[in-house]
Amino acid sequence: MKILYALHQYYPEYQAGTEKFVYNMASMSELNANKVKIVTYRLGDFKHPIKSAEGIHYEEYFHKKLPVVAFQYNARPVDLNFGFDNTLGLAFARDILTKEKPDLLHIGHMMRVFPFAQAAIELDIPFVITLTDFFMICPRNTLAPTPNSLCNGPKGGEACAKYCPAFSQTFIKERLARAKTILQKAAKIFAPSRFVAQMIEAEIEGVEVIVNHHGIRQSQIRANTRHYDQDSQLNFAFIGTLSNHKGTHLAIQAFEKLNTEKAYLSIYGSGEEDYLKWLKRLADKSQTRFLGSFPSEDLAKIFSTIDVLIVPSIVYETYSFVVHEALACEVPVIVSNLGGMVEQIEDELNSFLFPPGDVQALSEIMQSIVDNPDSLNEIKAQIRKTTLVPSIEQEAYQYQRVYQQIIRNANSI
Amino acid sequence: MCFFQSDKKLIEKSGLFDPQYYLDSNPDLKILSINPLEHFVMSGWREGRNPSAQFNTKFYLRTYHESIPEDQNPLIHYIKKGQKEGKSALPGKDQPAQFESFTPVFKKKKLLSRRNLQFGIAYIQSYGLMSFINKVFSKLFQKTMFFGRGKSSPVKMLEESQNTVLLKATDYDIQPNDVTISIVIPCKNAGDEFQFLLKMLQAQKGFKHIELVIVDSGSTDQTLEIAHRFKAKVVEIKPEDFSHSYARNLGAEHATGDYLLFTVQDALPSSDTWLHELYTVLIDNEVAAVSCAETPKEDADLFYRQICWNHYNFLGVNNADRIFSLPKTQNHLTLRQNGQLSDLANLISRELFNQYKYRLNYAEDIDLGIRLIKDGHKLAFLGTTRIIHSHNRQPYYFLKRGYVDNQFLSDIFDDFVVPKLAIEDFVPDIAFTYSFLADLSSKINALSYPLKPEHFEIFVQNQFDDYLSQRFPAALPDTSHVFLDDQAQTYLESLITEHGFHMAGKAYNGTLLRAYFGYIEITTRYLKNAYELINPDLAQDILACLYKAFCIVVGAHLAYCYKNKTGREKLNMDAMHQTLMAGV
Repeated sequence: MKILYALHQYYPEYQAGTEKFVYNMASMSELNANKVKIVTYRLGDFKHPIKSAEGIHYEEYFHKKLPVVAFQYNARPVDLNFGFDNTLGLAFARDILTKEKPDLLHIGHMMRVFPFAQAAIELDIPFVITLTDFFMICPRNTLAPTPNSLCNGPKGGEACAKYCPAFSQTFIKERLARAKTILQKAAKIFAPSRFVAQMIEAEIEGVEVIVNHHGIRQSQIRANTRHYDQDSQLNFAFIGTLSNHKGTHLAIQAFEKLNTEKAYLSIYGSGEEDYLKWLKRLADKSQTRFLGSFPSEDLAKIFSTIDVLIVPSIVYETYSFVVHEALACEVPVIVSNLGGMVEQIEDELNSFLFPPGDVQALSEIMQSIVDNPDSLNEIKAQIRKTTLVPSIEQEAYQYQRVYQQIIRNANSI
Repeated sequence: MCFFQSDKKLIEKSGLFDPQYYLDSNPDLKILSINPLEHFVMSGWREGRNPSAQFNTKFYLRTYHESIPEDQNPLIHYIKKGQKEGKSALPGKDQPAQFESFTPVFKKKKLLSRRNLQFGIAYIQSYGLMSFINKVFSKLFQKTMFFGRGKSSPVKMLEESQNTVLLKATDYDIQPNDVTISIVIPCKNAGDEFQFLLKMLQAQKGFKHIELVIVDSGSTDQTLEIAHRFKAKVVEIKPEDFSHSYARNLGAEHATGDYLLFTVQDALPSSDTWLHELYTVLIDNEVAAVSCAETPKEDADLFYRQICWNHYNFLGVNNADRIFSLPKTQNHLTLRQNGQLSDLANLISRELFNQYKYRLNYAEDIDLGIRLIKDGHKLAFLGTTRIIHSHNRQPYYFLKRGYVDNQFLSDIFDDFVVPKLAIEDFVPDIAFTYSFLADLSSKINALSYPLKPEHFEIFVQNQFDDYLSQRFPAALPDTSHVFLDDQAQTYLESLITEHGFHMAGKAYNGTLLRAYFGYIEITTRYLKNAYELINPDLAQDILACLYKAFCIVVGAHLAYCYKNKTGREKLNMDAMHQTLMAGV
């Protein structure tokens, strides 16, 4: 069978969580003897020979063995990053689906590739959606009206009118209505966490969202088996985009409050220059190290040097790969009690939770660990014993079964 | 069959099929008393045979492949559409170039050539006429042969909700059955993922108790520590006492559960309801034992994937579940098909298992399956529920695997015909086919990519056709085999250097190249099924796959040589046997 994957942006241009998820699933799908292709949007310059369609340019290339089609509107629509409609896009999507003849379309993110869902409905091609964030119900994706606030969903547009008045009520209501239509026509809808599933189900009446946790690559995982005593030095770490919404500054501020010479803070990742400058000003202690990004192949090596990972996001994480990669490597985490990343965490049993944005609370947890490093032994034992992080094979297996079921049903009609 | 009947009628009516021409062009069919039209419709067109002097199958397929639906007989396409559209049935002067990046040159294949007749005779000399006829028949009617009594029945499908369950789905609650499952795992240095396996097994839903029984044969890593941490029963044996049957039987003796699940240290349940799905099938279908297919790990190589895919197609379980029982016609092929149990996952009641137990040190799972169906039991094999498992092994392993598999076949099955093959004749054949592979590899590296799998298939076919007219080599090919591991290269090259050049310069009359090509056809079929384009990275995977396939075929033939040994060979056959039997 042939599966076409669609998402808003892709490698090598972008390398965030949704791209990783789609790559993982498409590559596993290929191993399961499916023909696969990825359709995405190119925001920057094309890197391969350019082809043309009406109002659109596109390129075709292979990324890590998988074929990719990346398109771009000649004239960038104003609502490219939040809209749900584009006539040129619909014509192009229709052409691509007619030419590629997929048995099924799997949408990893609806932004910019929304017309592919519309075309699939027209052409009677079954499609499934994985909701990797809140784009279907929030034009900002994040349910964060401002950099330092969060809402509990649009509530039919009432919350948007109150917190995000920049969007007109008509726009929001029409957008929600379109989202509902598409979601209702999807053969199946998935989310990587119960949290996302519940947020969508609460907003869009009558849709059922199945939880399929993102898997991790076992080949990139090695258990960190360090044993601690009362004098152990500790390496706290932050891994990810250095940005306000990921709360990198909170990790640094909390670390600054610690009363110890025995701990380090390692910051991995890159971010906007201004924010980075600010972070460096905050980091007064010499034990704070900015170590840049690292390739995913080095994950196990990096986690072998980390004692506790800090994930202080102040937006809803829909799953958080890095939290689960840490747990799979038996590295305890301290995470904001927020969103989909806390579903595997039992506070003070296999890791730690703190109120989002609360530097003092985060600092107190870090201080208690610094004062009793050997307490980590028990936490790690608990992770080892009870915390199950699925592999990408397990995640892909669930999708593969659903694909087969949907295609079997479609063929039997 | 209706599909074949309608095709037959259409072709008969068209007047484009000439039975006499067909038999004259294909003398291999004469001895089989087969209806020529039926043969053409069922398989002849796939093999590129022409129905009459008025239609060239390969030419038509090559020229108009883009408009012919996959798996359609090109003659049917011509009769229904091509004729009306003015398409040519025979090569003419101005044929359009259809290929984007590669235009394979099709050589007109003489089916009635002296070479082909020599091959037919060589095959019959080696395998016997009956074996030849059986082989042709089994190839022709493969799809209907494996059915059990009358026909095989699909396993009752699981409930819709169970087919979509997820790893940690909270909305899918299975009520625990009042049974204990004992999971028996033979282990030795089980590695980094062993802890994950035990965690997943303990997390299986739907049972009162899961008992883990680990039979360890000398682990020096953390295997025992992990097993104890998960409160497994640990039975330790000496490494020299290990055999596949002994370890599993010992585990079963220490088990106390109502049912036994045998699995392996490098597998992983696909979900937390996986075991319950197996159990439900066992109970609902009143089968003696249940096994399931495997789904690949992230690092599974192309060779492993195509082997599994081909095997599951053969069993009819690629997207389906089946119940097998004793076949009407019992031979090594049908018994192996219907006696399918797998050590990767074998769920069976403890009481029944204790009546049989495992025997042998190899293929003990299929041996148990065959004994069960011979006693009237049924077995289920699931393709819609799978266990995560695969390997990425070196060619040397497959050299040994091919050897051991074929030793087993002739040991277990009386009807398995061991070809008459002498080692002194065969080693030059290895040298010849090794040279073919080296030549093929460099040509594959020189192709332009991306390339359609259909075109790749034609390219390989042409290379094979060309090479048949070559002569036995006098030296090893001058190439570095990046896809052949040191052990395989050292073993094969020393074998060839010492015993492989006494036929140098003579016309090729061996059987290995053809047998190898049969194996390559699995690869090309898989590629057509799973890919639209071959890119340079995939081409490298294909090369690795071709070397592994070469090793497995050579290993199989070396097993035949051993079975034919007379004691007068220059090569120390017992030393070869010991080397190739070790460690699989």
